[in-house]
Order: sequence, then C-alpha cells, then structure tokens
Amino acid sequence: MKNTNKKVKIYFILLVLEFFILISIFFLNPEMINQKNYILLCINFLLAIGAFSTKLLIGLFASLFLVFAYGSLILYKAIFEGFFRCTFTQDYFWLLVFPIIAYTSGQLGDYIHKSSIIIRDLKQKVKILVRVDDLTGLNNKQKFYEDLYDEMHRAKRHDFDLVVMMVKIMFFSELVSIYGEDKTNDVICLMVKNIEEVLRAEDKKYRLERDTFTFILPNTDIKGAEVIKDRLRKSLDQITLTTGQKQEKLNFNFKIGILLYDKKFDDVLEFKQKLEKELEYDV
Amino acid sequence: MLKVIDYIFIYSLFAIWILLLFNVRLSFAGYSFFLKMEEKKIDIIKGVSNYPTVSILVPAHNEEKVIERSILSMLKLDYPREKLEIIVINDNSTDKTGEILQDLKSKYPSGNLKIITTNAQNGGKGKANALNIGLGHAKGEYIVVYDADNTPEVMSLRYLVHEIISSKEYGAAIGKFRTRNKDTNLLTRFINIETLSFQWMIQGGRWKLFKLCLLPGTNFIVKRKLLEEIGGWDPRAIAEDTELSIRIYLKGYRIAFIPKAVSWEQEPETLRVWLRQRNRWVKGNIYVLNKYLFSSLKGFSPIIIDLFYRFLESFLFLSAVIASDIIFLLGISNIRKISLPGNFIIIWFLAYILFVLEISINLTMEKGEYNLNNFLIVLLMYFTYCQCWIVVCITGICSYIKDTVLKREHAWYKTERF
Repeated sequence: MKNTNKKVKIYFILLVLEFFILISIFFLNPEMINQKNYILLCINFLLAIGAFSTKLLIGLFASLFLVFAYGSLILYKAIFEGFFRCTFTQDYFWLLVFPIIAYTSGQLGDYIHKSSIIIRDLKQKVKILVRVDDLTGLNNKQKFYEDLYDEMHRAKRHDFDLVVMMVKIMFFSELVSIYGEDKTNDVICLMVKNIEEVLRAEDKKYRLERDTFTFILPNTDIKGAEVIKDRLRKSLDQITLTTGQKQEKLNFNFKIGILLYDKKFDDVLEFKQKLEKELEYDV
Repeated sequence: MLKVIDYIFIYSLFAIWILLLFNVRLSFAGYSFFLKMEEKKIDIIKGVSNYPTVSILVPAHNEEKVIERSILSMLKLDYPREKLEIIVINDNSTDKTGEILQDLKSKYPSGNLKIITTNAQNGGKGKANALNIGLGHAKGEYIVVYDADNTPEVMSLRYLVHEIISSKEYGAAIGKFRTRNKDTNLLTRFINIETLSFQWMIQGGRWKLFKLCLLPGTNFIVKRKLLEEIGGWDPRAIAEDTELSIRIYLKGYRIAFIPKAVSWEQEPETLRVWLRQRNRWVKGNIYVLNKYLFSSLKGFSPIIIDLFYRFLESFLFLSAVIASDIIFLLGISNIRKISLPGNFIIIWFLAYILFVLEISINLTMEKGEYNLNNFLIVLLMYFTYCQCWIVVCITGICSYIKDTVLKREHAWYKTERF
C-alpha cells in the first residue's frame, strides 16, 4: 500500500513534469507554435486522459497507433512531397512523446486503481475481523454470534441456564431525524452506561444493529431475567440528556425481549430469530 | 531524375513500412486474443466428462542433464493415471539417459512409463524419426509431445485435452512455453522476451485473425487418428513441427492455441548453441517452403497462403534490411548517394519506437514480466539480438543451398542442454 502510494506520487509528478517540459519547449522555440503542433499537443492531452481513465495497455495501444499513423504521415511527406525540413523538435520529437505520455498516465491510472482495490479489500477485511462497535465499545454482531454459539454449547454441556435479552429502540430513524445524529449518539452512550450499571460484569453485552442491543446472561434463569428486565426498563426510562446547562428528558421507547435457551437446538440464527419474536410480546 | 539506387531505397522503405503495419495489426489481434482468454472461464475439471486416453511422447537423445526433472514433472501431471502413458524414446543416447530412465521406471512403477531404446538401425535419425517410433508404441487416442527439457505445469495437460475436444475441427492444440532459465544471462533474457512476444503476437494474433497456428515442437496435443492418416512425422524435415502443421491444415483441420497450458523449457545459454539451434530452424523452414511452395502445390488451404505470406514477409524484410544497410554504407563511404531529398532516418526511428512499444505491450500481458529491467533489455534488443537474426537467416540460407548443391542430408542438430 505504502509502495503503491509512493508510485502514484511519482507518476503524478512525472506526468505534470512531462507536460511542463512539453509546454516549455513551445515557449523556448516559438517557431514550434503552429497549427500542426497544437493539434498534436491536444492529441497528447487526450491520450493522457484516455490512458489514465482506462489502463496502461490501452494507453500503449493508443500510442502505438498514433506513432504508426504519424510516422507514416512524415514518411509519406518525405517521399512524395520532398519534405526534407524534418527536424527533431518539429517531427521525430512527437514519436517519442506519444509513448512516454501514454506510459506515465497509464501507470498513474493503474496504480490509483490498484490502491483503490487495496482499500476496498481492506475495508472488507476490517468488516470481517472487527469485533467491537466503534461508538459504544460494546461487542458487535460477529462477536455476538460467536459467543452465543459458545454459550449455548456450554449451557447444554454443563446444564446451566442461559438467557439472552434483546433491547430495541423503537422508531430509531425518526428519532435520528428529530434529535439529530449527534444527540442520538449521546443518548446511546448514556444507555450503555445505564445498561452496564444494571447488568453483571460477567454478562456479555453487544450492539447488534444501530438500534438493537443484546445481552447474553449466563447462569440466569427466566425469573432472574425478568427482574433484570424490569430494572433495565426503569433505568432506561430515566435517561435525561444534559446539554450545556439545561437538562432534557428524551422520549425514547424500548422493547425488551428475553428468551431462555431450551437446549434443544444449536442454531444461533434460529435462536436470534426467536428472540426477535419475543420483542413482539413486550407490549 | 531518380536513379536505380533511389528505387531500391524506396522499395526497402515501403517493404519495412508494410511489415510495421502488419505487426501493429498483429499486436492488436494478440491483445484481443489475450482479453478473450482472460474472460474465458475454463472449468478443466467439470468441462471434461470422459477423459480420453493420452500418450505423451518424449524424444530424448543424450539428455542426462535434464531428463530426470522433465519426466518427474510429467509424472506429476494432473490427469487420470490409468488414461495416461509416458513414452520416452531413448534415441541412441551415449550418456546416462538410459540409466536415469530405468531408475525412474523402477521408482515409479505406477507411473505408466515406457522406455523405448533405439538401435543403430532404426535410431539416431533426428526428432521426427524418434517421434514416429514412439507413435508406433502409443496406445492413446491423443498424442502429446514434450521435448526432453520440458517441465509442464501440473494442470497443463488438462487444458490441452479440454481444448482439443472442444471442437471437431481441431486436429491439434498447442500450449504456451515459457523460459525456465530466463535469469541466467542476457541471452536467455532476450530469448524469454522473444518467446513471449512471439507467442502473443504471432501465435495469438494470427490465431485471432486467421485461425492459424503452427505447432511449436513441444507442449502440444494431436489426434492420433489424424497423425496416422497423414503418415506421422516427416523424417526428412528438420523443422518437423512446421511441416506437420501444414499437413494438418491441408487435411482440413485447425490447430488451436490455449495459453493456459504452460510448459517451462530450457533455452540456449550460449551464443554458439543459439546460433546452431536457430540455424536449424531457418533450414527447416526453407525445407518446408521448398516442399510445399516451390514444388507442386499439394492442395489448397489457408495455410498455403499463409506459407506464401510468411515467405514474402521474410523475403521482404531481409531484402529491405540488407538493401538499406548497403545503401547506408555506400552513402557514408561516399561511393553512391541517394538523390531523394527527404530525411529518411524517420523510418528507423519509427521502426524502433514501434518495436519497443509492441514488445512492451506483449510483456504487459504476461504477469510480472513488464518491469524496468525487461524494458531496458527491450531497448537494447533491437540493436543486438534482432541483428543476430539477420546473421542467422543469411547463414541458414547459405547452409541450406550448400547442403542441396552437395546433395548432403540436412543434419538434425540437437540443442545442447545446460
């Protein structure tokens, strides 16, 4: 990645330098300023854009075609029109410029493309590897499924009780549109603080979606879970946001669902689905 | 008033221009073939439901330096073992080739390795003869030929089989060969670039444009039935691959190109060996031209037009280069000067830039081959390696004429190994 970035910089500077030299040559040799050279300069400009936005190979092919066509034109003039005032700056010069411009801009385009692919791949990797929600510091969905699987197995093997609790903030997108992204994030952080006070240290806490939290409560039976549920609801209902000097009571509605693991199945997705269904009964 | 020398000069300019034009066209065609190959999804495992039986022929004459590794890599080929036999023709070797082969046979009893050792009567008459002997012992429906220095990639045989059975009009299919010893010295680096460009431009480009391909002498598969119909390899041909290709086309079949079937081979590491090997190619090609073009026309096929074109191409190029070199020498030594007023360095300038561009494009198609080192080698190649080819062509032609006048048998030179 570092290497690719370096190469992008090098080729960008090279391309700018090439055009700078090209234009400087025109200024230093005013006899070069004519219609033919202006057209050739424009063609080089188009060549650079073309090679940059496609890829190196296409650029090289375009320059191959241009070199051949332009070379043939000079040759035709030399044979049939007795055109012998061929000078390096006027004629041969362009045969070199085409491939150089095509190569530099093609490489620049290719390296930029390469680094964007690297970034895309890295993003995908991060998505897979990351286990923490960046706002709340709670674990995320991936970690939830992993842990749930482990806990289900443990509960089954050692015959423990296992309860999973889900908290969903209702009408989340409306809340965001009313209070704004920042304020909503502040509330979520406050919620997490309250949740951590209510739950035990050994309970595992996750933020599954933007509006959904889940907690794995090992060694907890359904009665215990009901107690925690009530305590949690009270705690969440009392959330007040302090901005500057004023305190603001925000109307957030929650649904809380709890589900006891009955040790009959192992599928985490099925378990989560059932847990979501439980939310419907929290009326 | 134009003088004779002017006309010769205009001719050479025009000839070179035509060749440049054709090469630009071939580069485009080669690239579009490359794109087609990239997009083509070949499922070599599921694509073939019933694997045909295959016999691999490996002619070996004094190959002790390379034969073991080559046979080992062929034993590792991913192909149903019961459908594959490897036949090595130990052609009058005087070194340890025979012992190495016997050793391999005992070490790998399940490898289906057959060793045919020739004697003074039937052996020692060149590659074509050895291949014919091998063909007599082969049982497979398809024949695959690898040179004794070839180490094919594990999947390459599957690709070859997949390609040849994909169309009834294919009489043979060829794979791509790469240079194993490319980093040894400057010569092998030149050869590496040459072989890559040759395969993408000449083989790939011509396949795309005209559906024409020539057998490269190694890493190819051919229908056994077809081989028997056309009477096997011509033992008198020293470019037996080109000669066989022509007969395959004359029979109405085509030769397909599948670059995914890769085999790595060893290229000459010294100029002397290189010159002798290329000399043989030139002589072999003249033999083919003589057999099919200058003698009675033995049937009409696109390959004959191609052959005629190739002859013209070589003739045009060689005559143009020699003529312009002579004119150049006459000019600088003040003996004769052209009276045309134009500035003609342009044609060399143009040829050089096009050459560098075309080779660069071909190298870009091959992963990892387009780097600064190779680019610098390409810049150098035009003035060195390519000029050596002119020498090879001239000496090859002279040697062929000498052999014909003296009624000598054209000797088959086996490339030395390193």
